[in-house]
Amino acid sequence: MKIDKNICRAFTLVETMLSVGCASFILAAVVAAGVCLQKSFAAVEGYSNSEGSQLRVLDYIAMDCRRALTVLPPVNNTLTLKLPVYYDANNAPIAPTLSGSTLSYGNGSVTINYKQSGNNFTREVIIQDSGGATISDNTTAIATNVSSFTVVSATSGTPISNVSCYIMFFPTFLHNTGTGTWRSGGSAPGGGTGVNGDWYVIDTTASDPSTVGNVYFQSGGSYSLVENVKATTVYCNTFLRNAGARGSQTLIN
Amino acid sequence: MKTNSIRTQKGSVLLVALLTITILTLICATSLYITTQNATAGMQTASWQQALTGAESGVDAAMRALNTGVWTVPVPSGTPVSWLQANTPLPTPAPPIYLTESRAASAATTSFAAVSPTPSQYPASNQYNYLPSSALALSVQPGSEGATGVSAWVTIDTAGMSPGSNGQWYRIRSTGVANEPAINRNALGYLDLRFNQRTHPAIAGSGINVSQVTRTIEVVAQPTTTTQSNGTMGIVTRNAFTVGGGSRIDSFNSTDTSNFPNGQYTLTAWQSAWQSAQNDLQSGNSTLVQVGTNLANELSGGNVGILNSTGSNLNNGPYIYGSLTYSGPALQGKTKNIYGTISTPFNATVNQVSAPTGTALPLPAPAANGVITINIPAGTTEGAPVLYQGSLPQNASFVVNSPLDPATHLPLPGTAYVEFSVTGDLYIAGNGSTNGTFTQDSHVNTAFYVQGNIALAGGSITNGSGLAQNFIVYGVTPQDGSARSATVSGNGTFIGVVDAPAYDISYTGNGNVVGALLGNTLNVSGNGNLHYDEALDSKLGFFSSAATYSFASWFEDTSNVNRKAVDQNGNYKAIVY
Repeated sequence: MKIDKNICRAFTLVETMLSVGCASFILAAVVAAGVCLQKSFAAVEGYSNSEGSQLRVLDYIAMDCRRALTVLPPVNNTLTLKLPVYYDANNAPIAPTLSGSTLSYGNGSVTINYKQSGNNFTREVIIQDSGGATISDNTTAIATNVSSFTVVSATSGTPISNVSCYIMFFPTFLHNTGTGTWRSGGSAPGGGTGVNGDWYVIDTTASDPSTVGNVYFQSGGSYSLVENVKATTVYCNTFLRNAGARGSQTLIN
Repeated sequence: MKTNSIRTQKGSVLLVALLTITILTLICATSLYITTQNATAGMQTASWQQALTGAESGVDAAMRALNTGVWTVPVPSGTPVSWLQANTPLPTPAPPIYLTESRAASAATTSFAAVSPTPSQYPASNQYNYLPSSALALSVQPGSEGATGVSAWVTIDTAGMSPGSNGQWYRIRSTGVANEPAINRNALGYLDLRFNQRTHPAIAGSGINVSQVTRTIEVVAQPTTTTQSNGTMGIVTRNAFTVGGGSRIDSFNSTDTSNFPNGQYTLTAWQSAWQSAQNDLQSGNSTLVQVGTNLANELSGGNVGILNSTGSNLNNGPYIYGSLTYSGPALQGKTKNIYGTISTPFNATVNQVSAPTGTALPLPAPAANGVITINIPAGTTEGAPVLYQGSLPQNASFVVNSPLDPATHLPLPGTAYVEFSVTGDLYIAGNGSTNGTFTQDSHVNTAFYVQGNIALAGGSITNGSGLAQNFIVYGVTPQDGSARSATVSGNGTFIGVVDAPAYDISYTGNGNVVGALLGNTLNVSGNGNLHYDEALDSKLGFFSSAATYSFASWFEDTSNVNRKAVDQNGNYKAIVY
């Protein structure tokens, strides 16, 4: 019994060092796992948010482009679509009417504007009566964390039959933002942009397409390139083959 | 003490085990979270797109039914595709959506007892022909992952629209529904198109509580070819249509002298008129918009119809300011430059050409200079032209004169009509005034009926009136089915019409055609353009046609009061636009 007590009462130095070592290893593993889990959660949430935003934007643009009468020439990177006046004042569908070869729904106009507003991507629905008076003008942010939105008309003249949209999201699911601010631009940032801890991404306005997606991090008053991220740009090439037929041949609004 | 020491040691093991289990649990939870997020996003995406696919399938079925004419014929219940007719308006909200085939069949019977036994050509605006979801249901094995069913409900009605110049326009409304078994998640808190799931009881009033996604499309179908007995297009081929260069096919109307002075086509005049039409369309003034619409229609009527598209190839893509309608396999080559619609099928029967009958005069022999001079007697009409018959020596040249006033020696007012029934070849493709040329004054209307091969060159033909309707070359359809050929070549403008349904037409050179072409095949190998004169609409009868429908409008109806979205505050509101 006495021998047993001595054994239980104290560790030898070797035992103590081994215990401390094992405990440290386990604690380090726990801390590392915790950090990784946190990063994983943040990454998954960021990924889900980004994917959801991208899909939502595509859903909206695809739907509106399919039913658009015309696409107006892009101004200030705003995608403007003209829709038929399909609903009456009670939001009930209007029956189409045919006059000659001209098909029409209601009087007035419906204009859909897609554009970037700060870090948000907004969809604006403007409904006007036949006199041009605005009946309603609702803007809804359908995505956030947007670094840039670019609209390019692939064809010259009117009516436009082909437009390309580039929507770029900040790649936060790969880079934990921390307390830094995400910034964007078409060229590499200078030291005067933002503060230490800020992130910067080259957006689709870059003159050199190969730099789009370059992510910089500011530390010590200057930015350094982290890596290039390509997966955050949503490309929407909208082909309006029958734009003319829709806009002028058969439908008016 | 010994016991305590042992407990302390065991406690350390327990602590380590708990930590390990905690870490593993967190890892599992993370994995499940990731999987759930991805699965939910995937489910919603798939269901959202499947619902649209279902709705578009319904539209396709409706277009097919319109093109084949089966939609007005009630088919006995139980057949794969059964269009039914209701004499009463569909209930509100319409259309109802049913989950299963059995339910759809019974509901269709009970809800619409007053099915008309007699089909009508054009139902009244409050009548619907509908295809129940049982005919457009896709069921996946129960219990499988993903959406377990996609179906659609389709209605066709006139919506009160009166028939247009080419026939009746129709409204098609199709609602696609896809089961969406995943739990609706709105973690983002933003307005989302996909968050419109409704349970089946909310849709149909009863049934299985299964979350579903619905999307509704409204399409207006317009007849792109005439339903009249005689139809005309800029280009019609019975078989392959191939274009090698960057030809331009557009239209104008020679009676529109305000935009086309003297009824003559020029590219400058067309472009000016086109710009004017676009300005009117964008003016916002309804009167001007109507003017612009009519003008745009006039300028974009360079339609092409292909009865059998096998072997057809657009290559780099001609600029077609008109619609292209075809039957057969998908067209090869680029269609990006087609301004109008592309639709299939082309429901038409080309009218064969027969040689004229009646009393014919023999063709005069050429004079010493090789010229055949025809002086049309007075008193001819479109229905009673003077007819000449015979064979022609190659490179024969024609001069056709209208009758003169005996007193003034000036051409008599009106049009003089002459027909030539040529039993051999027709060759008007010379280079000189006496080497295979044709000249007619501005009062002459000439029609050739050729039984042999045809060779034409724009620069060799002088159509005094400048109107295509006054120079028509018919290729008589051989009774033995033998092949014939026709060529339109040169760099001059050919103003006229070639109506040769049994001929393989070769259009070479850089000369333009102002008029229309119909052949068995047509191969455009040069850079020539074709400008269809819409004044020919009432003059020619290329084909007999049942209506071929194409899309005049496409709109996704997001206004269903039962379909709501969640805004950023978590409130539901109906989606409008």
